[in-house]
Amino acid sequence: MVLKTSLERCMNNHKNQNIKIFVTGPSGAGKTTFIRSISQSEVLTTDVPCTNAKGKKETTVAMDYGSLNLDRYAIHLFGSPGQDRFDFTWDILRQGALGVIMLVGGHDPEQLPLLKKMHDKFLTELTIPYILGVTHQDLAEVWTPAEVADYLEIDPFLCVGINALDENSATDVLVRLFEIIEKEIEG
Amino acid sequence: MLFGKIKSIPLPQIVRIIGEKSGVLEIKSPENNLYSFRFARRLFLGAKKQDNPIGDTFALKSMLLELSQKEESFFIFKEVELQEDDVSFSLPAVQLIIASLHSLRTMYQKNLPIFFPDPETVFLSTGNDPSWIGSEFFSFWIEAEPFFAKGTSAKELAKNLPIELEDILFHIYTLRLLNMIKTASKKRTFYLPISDQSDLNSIESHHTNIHLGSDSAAIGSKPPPLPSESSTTAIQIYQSDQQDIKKGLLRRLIYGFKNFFRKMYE
Ligand SMILES: Nc1nc2c(ncn2[C@@H]2O[C@H](COP(=O)(O)OP(=O)(O)O)[C@@H](O)[C@H]2O)c(=O)[nH]1
Ligand SMILES: [Mg+2]
Repeated sequence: MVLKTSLERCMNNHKNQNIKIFVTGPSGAGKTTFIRSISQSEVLTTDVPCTNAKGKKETTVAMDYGSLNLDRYAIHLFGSPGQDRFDFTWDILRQGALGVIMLVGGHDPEQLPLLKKMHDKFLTELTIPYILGVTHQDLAEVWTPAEVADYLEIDPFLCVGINALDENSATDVLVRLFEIIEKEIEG
Repeated sequence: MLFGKIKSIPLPQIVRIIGEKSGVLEIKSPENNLYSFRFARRLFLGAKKQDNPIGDTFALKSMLLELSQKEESFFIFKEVELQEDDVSFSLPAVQLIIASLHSLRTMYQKNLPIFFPDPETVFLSTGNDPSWIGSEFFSFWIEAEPFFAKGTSAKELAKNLPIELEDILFHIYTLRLLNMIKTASKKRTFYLPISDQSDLNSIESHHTNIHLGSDSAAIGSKPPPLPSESSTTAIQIYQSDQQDIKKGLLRRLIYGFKNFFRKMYE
């Protein structure tokens, strides 16, 4: 409880230089991998072994957290747990975030309906800028970002294809998010 | 590459995603029957079951019904230019969407498939002409249109109309595929949640398994929390190590970053 309040507080208090970004998406999308690739180093993990129909070996029961320092700014990445827990994440989101990164595994179209459900609800309820990362682009059989954009009926500029295992590729999503926010500042 | 199972992306939705593209949609049922549909520039040109061409609308409808019941069927769309000489239908693709939605309805009268929208998502009318959508969908449209004109959700409609939520969700799914409604997307606004470093430090200093939920008994307990419905309440921390800075990544990010900070404070 104490930590919940402190987390909420840190999201409200304005001082300086800390940027919060939320990473969400269906289980297996690559959220944990993405945050690991982007963050400056990894110390702990709370993924626990599990087996489900898709054969995924580990699942995040906790929230992922990673950070990186840019110049005098610190970017904090918070990842939602893998289950269908978007509402939980949204409560935190309402406390304020610079932007949201939604991820989906391009190799696994069974993630798409949940992504769409979540994306559409997000679109009509919250006003935070967002970007969509379509992971697993290193594989041969994947939905391309343009195809996912068609599926979601959104501007293809909002969809970026990445290999979440690769830090350079994963960075493309953040870069695009900043571009989008920049555009919004321009109006 | 467009592929998947029709239980997560049913035929009418696949046709909608195909849009302008030309090519062949192949659907393989669990019994290894191959169904195929040909498209070019928003026209549906013809279909086959195994090697047998489907000759008329009756045969087409029964094939669609048969397919909608084989949820585990796998689809793949192969983009190719098609010759116009092998044409048995030449219908607007949207007619195939309507026909396959009717089969879906039969399939999902009672349960809620994963591809229906969330009951709280808000939809708005697109202002398109409803006269062609077919009588069954039209009668729902007449009742719901005043709500869609101002933006409404399935939850709100269920409160105001004498229709079950399941049915409303089906109709919203339908009207959306028919381009009669769209999500009532809010304007994205930029808001910088700059937070207090000391608060963040206090989170990081706990290093692991910080429980946020009310089940505080779990704090410090030995076994890791199980991925059950109620255990989604810890924070996983990848602590940053200042010595290990990824230089190339940072250079790229800083560029984008500085630009928008400069603009913000201008
Ligand atoms: N080849 C490939 N594998 C990936 C990619 N992203 C994630 N993975 C793998 O996909 C699995 C699920 O990723 P994870 O980050 O745990 O997904 P999460 O449930 O969203 O946190 C892991 O085995 C990752 O190594 C990617 O872009 N390409
Ligand atoms: Mg995870």
